[in-house]
Amino acid sequence: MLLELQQDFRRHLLREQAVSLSNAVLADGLSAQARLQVYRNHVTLSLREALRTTFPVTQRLVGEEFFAGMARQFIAAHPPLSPCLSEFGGAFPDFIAAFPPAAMLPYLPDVARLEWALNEAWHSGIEPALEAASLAVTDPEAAAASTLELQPSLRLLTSAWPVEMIWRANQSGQDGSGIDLAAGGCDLLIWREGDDAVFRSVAPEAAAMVRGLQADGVLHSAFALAGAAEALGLLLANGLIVGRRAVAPA
Amino acid sequence: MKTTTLMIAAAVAAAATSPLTAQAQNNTEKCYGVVKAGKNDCQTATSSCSGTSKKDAQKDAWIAVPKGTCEKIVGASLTAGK
Repeated sequence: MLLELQQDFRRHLLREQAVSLSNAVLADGLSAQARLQVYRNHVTLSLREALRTTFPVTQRLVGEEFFAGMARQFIAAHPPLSPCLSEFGGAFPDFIAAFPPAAMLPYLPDVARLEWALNEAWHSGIEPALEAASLAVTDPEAAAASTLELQPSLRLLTSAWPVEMIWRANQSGQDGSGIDLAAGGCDLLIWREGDDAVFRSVAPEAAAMVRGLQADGVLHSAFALAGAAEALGLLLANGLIVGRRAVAPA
Repeated sequence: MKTTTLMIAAAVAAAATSPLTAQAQNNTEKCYGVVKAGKNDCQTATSSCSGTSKKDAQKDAWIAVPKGTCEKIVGASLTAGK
């Protein structure tokens, strides 16, 4: 009984179909239908507001009206799985990629991915960074076979589009102009720094090394790639390495 | 194998003592994108009762044409078939 009522209410909120809940809701000044609509309106608006807050550049690119339409369909298809609004929207970039009206903006999903990565980074914890000096080793064999642990906030985004330029051109004070898609792709490292979420573009080689470290963490395999030394310096300089562990030789 | 190992050790040592490691903290503005904290918390302005006065005006038939700064991006056609 209660389960059925809850499921009907859910269907009503997500506009899946017209369900009659009138006998479960009292009219009180407003009709039962009107009262239910206030509730539904509220759910949609709160969730859309959360998406706007997490994806401001995406919204600026397409305009408020288009964003609202896209958000409304996303909300109906992917209702929140957790009670925290900051965790809502992880599926939005993929939804945009498959959303026909946005198909003429092929870079849009990656812009949304950057915004989601920033949101995730922001809500990650910060581990104490490894002192650079503690990487200086006396035993080369052990060093090569050790693994590096990275900051939990660290994300990597590889895009075929100039999403960094697009993001920058759409910050407040910028008018969004000056972007040429022919500028090509970029590799972005995203992480939390203090109370901010930051990102910067890195060389493809550095991106490959971070990808390697994220996969198995072992220096050996990461260093099979070119540009590894610079990448390591970058990670160290930004406090993105939080630990080194010796691995027993295979 | 030995060479790789030594190379790694050298690179690690170099990275650990590099001046880059020491100074890189302060060049933020130019090459970093920064998002200021304090935006998305577990509630929004519209989740208060005041939100009820705001109507979700968007009807099911909405005009599916992006009208934002995407128009300023060079190199992609906004209309299919152009």
